[in-house]
Amino acid sequence: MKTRWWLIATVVAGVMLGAGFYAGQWDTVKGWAQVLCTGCIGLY
Amino acid sequence: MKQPAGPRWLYYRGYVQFFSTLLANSYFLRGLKGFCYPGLNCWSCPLANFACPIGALQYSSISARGNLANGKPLWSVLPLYVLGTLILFAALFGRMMCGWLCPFGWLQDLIGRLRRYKYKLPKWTGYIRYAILIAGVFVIPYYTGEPWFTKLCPQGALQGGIFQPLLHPELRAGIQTMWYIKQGILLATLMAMVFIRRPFCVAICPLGAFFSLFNRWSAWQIKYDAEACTDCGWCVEHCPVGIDPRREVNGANCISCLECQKCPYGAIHSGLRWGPESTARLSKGVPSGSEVPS
Ligand code: SF4
Ligand code: SF4
Ligand code: SF4
Repeated sequence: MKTRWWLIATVVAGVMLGAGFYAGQWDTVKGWAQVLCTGCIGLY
Repeated sequence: MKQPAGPRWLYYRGYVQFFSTLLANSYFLRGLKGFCYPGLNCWSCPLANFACPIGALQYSSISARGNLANGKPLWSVLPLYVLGTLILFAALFGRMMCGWLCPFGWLQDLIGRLRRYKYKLPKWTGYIRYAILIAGVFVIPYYTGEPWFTKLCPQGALQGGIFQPLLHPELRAGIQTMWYIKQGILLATLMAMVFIRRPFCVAICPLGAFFSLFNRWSAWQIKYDAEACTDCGWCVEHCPVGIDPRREVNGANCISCLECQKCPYGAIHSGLRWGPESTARLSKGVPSGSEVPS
């Protein structure tokens, strides 16, 4: 049977996502996303 | 005259790209801004609903340094949530997000319509995007504390750099050399889109580079059937990134747009491989002496 890499990657990704979520990274990312990024806009 | 064929849904790709762009920039879902959209869509756009995964990875690299210095363990500073989201999409769909969802990919398809004959970038340019992913998104932000890909990103120049100063006059005072450089990069990228097939996706985009790593292994697979192929060259002519689908479907440079699945002879198929009996990679290689003028 061929190794189903996509399945392994999907499971690993699900675990990473869950762990990151549990560690509060959703809120961290949300915090970054809500502040205007001067780099994106090109202001210094 | 060869007529494109294939299932009907293939012909709705433009609509899917439109609705994806609308979904990512419809303003009303901003409560979900912690979600990393699997496409290049600037989170500084006034209408953006979601986070930019490339921006989030850069800020993760920047904050990782400080957190490590403060004695936090390595595992706690890894961007598990962002990478997990991206790997989940990529493991299931490979680079289909590039072909079907990404707003900046759609823009390239639209502008590309202005000119029928377009150049293809040489193959080696495809490696640049991996260097940008490693250096611009992880290494340089980690060491300099600045999100350097973001500072040069043309999608940011368009969605953030133009619309934010338009809506907020007080921001205009901050416009200096870097803003002009960024707009210059945007202009050059837009010009390149007219003459070259998806130039940003082929050579520059670090998000596309990340998805590329999974294209060969993803659950969604494209199959090329050498027996049915007549080497008519239709697919080579229509591939938006300018690769030869007979050799390179599912490869790192294929954006899984499935344009080639419109093959007039039904030689290209795609679908999910769930079972162990994967029918993917039917490819038997291209018979010699069948070069297509391209
Ligand atoms: S490679 Fe192109 S389509 Fe894919 S994420 Fe980047 S800009 Fe979008
Ligand atoms: S797969 Fe073969 S038959 Fe189909 S469009 Fe390409 S060259 Fe023509
Ligand atoms: S090989 Fe086919 S699916 Fe891949 S980018 Fe070209 S046309 Fe799209």
